[in-house]
Amino acid sequence: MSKILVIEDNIELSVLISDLLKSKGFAVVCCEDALQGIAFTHSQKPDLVILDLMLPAGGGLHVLETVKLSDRTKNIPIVVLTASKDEKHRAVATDHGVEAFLEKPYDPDILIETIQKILDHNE
Amino acid sequence: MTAKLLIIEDNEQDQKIMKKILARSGFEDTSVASDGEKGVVLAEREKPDIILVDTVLPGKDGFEVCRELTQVRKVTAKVIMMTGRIDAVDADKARAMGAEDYCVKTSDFHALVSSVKKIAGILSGDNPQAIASAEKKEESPQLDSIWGIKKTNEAIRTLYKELEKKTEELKKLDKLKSEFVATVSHELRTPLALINGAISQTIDGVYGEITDLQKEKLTIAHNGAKLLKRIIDDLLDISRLEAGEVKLNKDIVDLCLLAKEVFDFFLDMAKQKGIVLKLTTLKPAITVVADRDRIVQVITNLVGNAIKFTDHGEVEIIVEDNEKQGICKVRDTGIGIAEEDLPKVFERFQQFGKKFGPGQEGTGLGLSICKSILELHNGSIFLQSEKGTGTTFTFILDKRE
Repeated sequence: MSKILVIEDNIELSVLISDLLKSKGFAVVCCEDALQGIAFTHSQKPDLVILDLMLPAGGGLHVLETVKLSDRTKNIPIVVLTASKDEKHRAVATDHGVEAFLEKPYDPDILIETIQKILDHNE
Repeated sequence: MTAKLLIIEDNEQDQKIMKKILARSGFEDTSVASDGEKGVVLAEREKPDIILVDTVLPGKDGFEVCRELTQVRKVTAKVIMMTGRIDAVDADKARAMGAEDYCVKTSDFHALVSSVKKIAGILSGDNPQAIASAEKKEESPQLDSIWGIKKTNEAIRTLYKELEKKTEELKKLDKLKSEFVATVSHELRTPLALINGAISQTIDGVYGEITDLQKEKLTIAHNGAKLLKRIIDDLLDISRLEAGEVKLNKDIVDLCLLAKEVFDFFLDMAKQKGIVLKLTTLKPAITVVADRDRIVQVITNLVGNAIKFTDHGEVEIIVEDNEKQGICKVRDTGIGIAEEDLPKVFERFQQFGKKFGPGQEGTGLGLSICKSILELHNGSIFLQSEKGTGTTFTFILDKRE
């Protein structure tokens, strides 16, 4: 069973996403801030990370950079979820090598499809 | 304002001209003497307010006469000395002799009349400013126009500075508006994500089985959430387009290919509705300079609308060209648009025709967005329509930059 780490500062949204993932057979771990998120990528060994790019105080970008820079974690696929439609953010995320970029409000079907595709590809 | 005058001047011609000119300026009570002696007599008898004395006189010269009048006879009148020469020495001398002013006799006696007016004004208690402005107006035509031009230039400079200030203010407001729309759109997305996520997942059975009735009602909410998202997206889009914040990724693109892409996308939808979707390209490839994604957005909007408003018949996408431009038309046999509504078609939040079923509502912004996109490309978009017959939208792009 694949394990997904959700890093999202809005708790209710976190719960909804978690509900969805669990109903599709994934194991889920959630956290609300960048530092804990980075820690979890090491300790929890997730198969995929769902990251809110707009974490407070530039936390989203920080997680992105840190995870992709570290040898231990750089191969973990990241799906970025964001409320921002700013093209600059999309460009930055792509530069760092995120596997997918989704906008809020997320479409549950598309989210599952995206995750499935990435995990199948990595196997 | 007027005053009683005495002119002591031996030249008869000058006498006549001066009298006439002064009369024209409102000084009609004027006596004349042709030499100093006669002048002094008249001065004491007539008691004029102002005495004009020429420097050159037979017998006693003008300066002597002036001194006699002001310092010996001590008349109350103000004396103005007149001369044919501009000579500093004379001016000082005149002052020393008790003259109030000293003027050069020009052919129009301009300065003289000014001086008389000024002194008459002071005598009658007029305020100095009125006299000063009256003086200014008395300047010769040449001086008038130079002064006028200077004033106009100053006014233009002031207006220009104001215009610059207003433009800066407007730019700031525009930026604030843009930032506001971006912030609002951003803030709305998370609550919308909660609504959409919870409802959508409940409908999908993530939280257990639900009754058909529950599903039906939840779907209403779901469609509302989806429409809300489309409106927020379009609002942000049009705001950024109008504020000039959208940078086009221009490239050489084939209109025929883009049209085909949209055609493929809508084929099933048209079939389901029972209408025919056609694609007609008058050449195998027609290239224009444009932002690929944005033009696909435009064609998608037009074709989507066409299908929406057509119940039977067809929707045709036509791609053609002329020497310098690529042309794309979307023609439908739909319900058409009334003539009085035609001017409003590209305005925001204008929706015509019937109400649409759930999940199909437009945001009312699609055509405004299309117009903005075409304007950014320096292209154009327009339509023809007849109510009951159908509508044709046409947009044009340049083949070269």
